Amino acid sequence: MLIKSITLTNFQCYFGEKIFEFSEGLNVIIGDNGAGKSKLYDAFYWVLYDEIFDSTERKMRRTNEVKGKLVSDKARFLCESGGEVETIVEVVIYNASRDEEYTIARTYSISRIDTGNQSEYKWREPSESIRIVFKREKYLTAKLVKDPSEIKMIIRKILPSDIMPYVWFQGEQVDSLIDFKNKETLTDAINVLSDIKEFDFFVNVSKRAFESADNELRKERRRLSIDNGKSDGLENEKTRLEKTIERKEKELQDFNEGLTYAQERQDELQGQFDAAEKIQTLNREEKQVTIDLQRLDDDLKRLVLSVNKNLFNRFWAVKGTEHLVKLYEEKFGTYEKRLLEKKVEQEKRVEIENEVIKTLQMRLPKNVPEPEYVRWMLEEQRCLVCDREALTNSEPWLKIKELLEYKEPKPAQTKTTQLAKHNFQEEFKSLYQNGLRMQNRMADTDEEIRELFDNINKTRQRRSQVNEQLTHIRSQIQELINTSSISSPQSANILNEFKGQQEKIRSLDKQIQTCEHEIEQAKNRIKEIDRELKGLTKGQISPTLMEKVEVLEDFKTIATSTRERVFNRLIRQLEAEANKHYTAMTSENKAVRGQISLVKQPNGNYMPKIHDSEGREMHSINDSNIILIKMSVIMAIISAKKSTAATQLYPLISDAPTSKFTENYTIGFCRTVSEVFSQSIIMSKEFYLNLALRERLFKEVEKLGKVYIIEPSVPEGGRDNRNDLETIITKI
Amino acid sequence: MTNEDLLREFLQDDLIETKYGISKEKAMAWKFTDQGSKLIDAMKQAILKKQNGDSEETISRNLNSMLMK
Repeated sequence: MLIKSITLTNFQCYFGEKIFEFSEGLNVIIGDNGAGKSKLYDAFYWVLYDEIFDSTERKMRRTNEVKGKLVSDKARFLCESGGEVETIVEVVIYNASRDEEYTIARTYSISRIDTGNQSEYKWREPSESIRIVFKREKYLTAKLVKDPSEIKMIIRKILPSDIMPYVWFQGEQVDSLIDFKNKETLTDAINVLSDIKEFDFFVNVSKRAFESADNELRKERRRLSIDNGKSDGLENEKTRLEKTIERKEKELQDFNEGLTYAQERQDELQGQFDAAEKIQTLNREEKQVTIDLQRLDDDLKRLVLSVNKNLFNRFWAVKGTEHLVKLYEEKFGTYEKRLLEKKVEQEKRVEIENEVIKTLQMRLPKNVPEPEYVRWMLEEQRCLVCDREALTNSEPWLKIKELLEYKEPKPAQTKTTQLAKHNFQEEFKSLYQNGLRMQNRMADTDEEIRELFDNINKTRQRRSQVNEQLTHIRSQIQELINTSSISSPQSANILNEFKGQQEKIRSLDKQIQTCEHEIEQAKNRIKEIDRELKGLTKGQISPTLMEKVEVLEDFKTIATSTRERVFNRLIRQLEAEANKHYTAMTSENKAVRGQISLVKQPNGNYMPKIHDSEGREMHSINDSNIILIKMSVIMAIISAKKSTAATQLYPLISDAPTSKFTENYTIGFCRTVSEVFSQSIIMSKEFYLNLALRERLFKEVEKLGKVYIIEPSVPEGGRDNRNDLETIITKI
Repeated sequence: MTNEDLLREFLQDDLIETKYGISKEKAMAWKFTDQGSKLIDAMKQAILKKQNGDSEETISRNLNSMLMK
């Protein structure tokens, strides 16, 4: 199939009649955002399938849903009251294998209703569009095709609906075509685009034929049975076992599905597992180091506090006052000595006084002269002993009077309180004793201070090291979070889920083994039943029937295993082919891109995976690589469809397939597509502003078809009023 | 894929070699017109009928009656 041209008349932003002509090779429509690339892609879809892509809701919509939105704003604006605007898309396709040309046109008309008010617009917008198909065979003139079934056949020839998603797509749809997370999409694509369905057909035929022959054999056995009751019992048991096998096989399939999912999930998590595990390990380290740091902080606080305490408890505050203690000791010694001297002196004096008293006592004993005489002497004012005058209150008179008051003199006693005016001996002594105790401690103070400060310094150093360690751990965690986009809580979830999946895989493995064993047992029992049934048969079962059953069973076995063998071979071919395309598209990019492997899952489906040169699965693949991988697989599947040569038959039409690519990938993609597909039409923005890239397109893509630039008549920013908007096409 | 290609694919199966004594080399060179066992006849019949556009059900019935002759 070769799309020769597409003509758009008043279709969306294409005002008037606009024609794109195409040739074999890669045809490129270059345009900036809003230029009309997607509308052109829509035009292809609309003309064949009556649908356009709704970019707001990301889904296809039919004419009856969009109605007047199909029509150019400018055409509507220029339409006069009572007038009609017709939108037409016409595509001309040439089928080289049959030398036929099909012209398919779709039209949709709206008419303006006269409201009597020039500024008020009303439109009659029908729900249906009209499709017209012309077919020109060889040298004949084109004729209108009226038969709906023939139209359907022509459309199918142009592009079968099952193949369509793989060759007509928008760049953003590639992801869903082969979804790495959906295990079935690759298998579906292979089924649609390869010859494998041919073998499915024979598998089904051989199964049906065998079942029919087997039933026939059973009936015959029953007819010839010598013990119908036993035969029936065995047949019933066989039927039950067959049902059990069927049920168990379903269970097995479910287990395998579960296993596939668990392994896929585990594979997905594997990519994050290392980072998550590191984050978790670092989190644990962080916790431990934080505890260590807290402990060191406490130690340090305690040590610093002990400096304060030791100032008093260990007398560090009086450090350096040893000479004062000595001085005090001297002074206190002097004080005591002087006190002692005073005491001695006092005692001496007392002793002397006592001696005097004693002497006095010896000279005038008590009551001598007798008090009566003394009183008389006082009255007479004369001493009768010496006969001297003693006037009242004079010294002699007072002395005489003392004789009356005389008491027995007591020996004089030393009174320490009298030794000094203020006696602080006890306090001074206590101070002295304290000083002595301090002096003993002071000898160790320097050592103690040195030891404590050493300890503080060491603790500070250790704290600083631990703090550095903590900072390092935290920066490592942050780095891991940045590179892996996994937060700390997520990492715990990932590890838990990973372990959960591991457990699930182990459990499913066990269930699968049990299930397989039960199926095996049931099958063995069926064989026994068959032997028993055979033994119950009287007479001979037709050898032809026996042979038929055997032949058809063999056919069934061979058809099933051939299908599997062909499919596996196809997978390996696809893998090689996909890698060929992938390598070609990425040849100029030096980044590690890996190799595509199509890996069989437990449920029998295949999943594309990327492995590095050492065979390790790569998990961190960027978006553009993923699209290229998917494109490579699609191209490989299409190329592998030998019987129909799909790449020769069906043109690739894609809107913005290169939007996520780097320059090298874009050129690589264009080159490969032009090699793989006999015709391709792509809409791209990448070549619009990047003139160097456009230059490379012309130089490096050998099979280049037509190239167009499309631009809006109204620059961006001035498109609020769309009444003058149309797309201008320039062929380059 | 031609009818002969299809038949050769089936004949490449291990069962063909072990039970029917047709080696892989011989199977690779097998022609659609070559005479073989009833199994090969059944396969050929199925291939031809599919080419004719017959349904699975029809071909299944056809094989059953063919093998009773």
